[in-house]
Amino acid sequence: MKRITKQITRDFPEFKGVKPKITEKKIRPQDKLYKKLSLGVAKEFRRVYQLSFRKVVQTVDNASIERILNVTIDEAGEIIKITHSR
Amino acid sequence: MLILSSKTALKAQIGNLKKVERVVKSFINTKKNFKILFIYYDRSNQFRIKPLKIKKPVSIRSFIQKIERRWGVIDYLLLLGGDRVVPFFRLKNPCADSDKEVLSDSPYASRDDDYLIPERVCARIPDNHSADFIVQQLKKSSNFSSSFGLSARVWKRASENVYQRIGKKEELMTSPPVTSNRFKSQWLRKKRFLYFNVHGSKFSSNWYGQDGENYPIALSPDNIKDASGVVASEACYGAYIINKDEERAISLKFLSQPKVLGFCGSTTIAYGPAVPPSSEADLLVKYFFEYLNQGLNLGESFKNAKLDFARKAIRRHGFLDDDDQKTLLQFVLYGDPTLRLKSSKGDNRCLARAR
Repeated sequence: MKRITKQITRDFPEFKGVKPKITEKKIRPQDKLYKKLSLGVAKEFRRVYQLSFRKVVQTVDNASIERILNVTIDEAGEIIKITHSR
Repeated sequence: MLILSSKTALKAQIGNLKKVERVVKSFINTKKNFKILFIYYDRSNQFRIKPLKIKKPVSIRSFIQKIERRWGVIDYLLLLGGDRVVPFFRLKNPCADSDKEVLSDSPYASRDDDYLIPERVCARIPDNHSADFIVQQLKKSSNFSSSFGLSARVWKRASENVYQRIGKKEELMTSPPVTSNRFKSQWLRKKRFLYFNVHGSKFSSNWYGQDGENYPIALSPDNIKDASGVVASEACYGAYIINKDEERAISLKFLSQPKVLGFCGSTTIAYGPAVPPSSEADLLVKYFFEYLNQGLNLGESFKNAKLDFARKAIRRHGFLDDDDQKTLLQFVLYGDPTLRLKSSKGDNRCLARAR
């Protein structure tokens, strides 16, 4: 997690000093979704981790915007995806 | 197609209903390729389905299903009015962000309890407290070919990846340097598509750019004059219209323009990548543009974009995660879903027309 946090604050310096909230997520097979989308058999139970960096920023007209950067990591510690709030 | 509203609630928002009812009747007569029914869920109907006394989304959805059982498959659903007329569903937020709930029309688009995947086209024409506003949405047309795009500077690469579906990536503008006070309204004129990948706020009427820690106003309602085309915005709360009017919601301001055909956006905090490949809001909007370019109407393009988005996300990771699920629930379509853009190939013109 330290490695990921270091990488994120290097790539996205605006989140430097923000401590991420780490959540473990257990993904159950999404059978109904697979069926509705005609995608065959759902993947097995999976475990992923999400690091969520959150901060509130001020715009030039003093509106508050919640900035969120989510990093999803698989069990091997590899980043699956990084998303930003719009 | 079912057009659904509440007589009592709509009247409370816009006053006299005669003008709207007359135009809806004319709309039905014009759309020869559609079998269209206009029903107030709080009034008696030809199916003898008991009118609803309270406007709860669950009850309205159940009312729609009863109509479907007696009338036949409803492929298109058009909700006439804003949240006080046909309320949004308030769904549990899949993400751990500050949204207590996700305002969504997705359950109206689904026949089963798996709301993430739509089975019918569902669009909404907000009332904006004005009969003329609703009437205008049902009479729109536009015939232009070029596009306009504006992105927060930090997401330039990600936005280019989306914008390439509708124009040349060199055309895409970023904020900064573009700011509201430098914005030229003429940029929005005679356009086929208008694309925005910027920040938004629940409480502010503006959209914002970003460069590092600088968040300038990228667009305000005052910037929107003589705009045209189909608008897609990834801004957080870009489609949030609760207790707002066209001066306080950019989405409604766009829809108030005679040549803006529809608006696709998010009711809550939306997500997307900083760089390609496209995911979440970027991916949904990209597919929406692709289908519009192929000649599908707004409603079909929106529905198909959600289906393709879900398939792509699952193929990538094997599941829909929290961000993906929220994206599917939070994006709504405002406007007449039957409008479509004629393919720009050949004479390179587009023509929005009733199908």
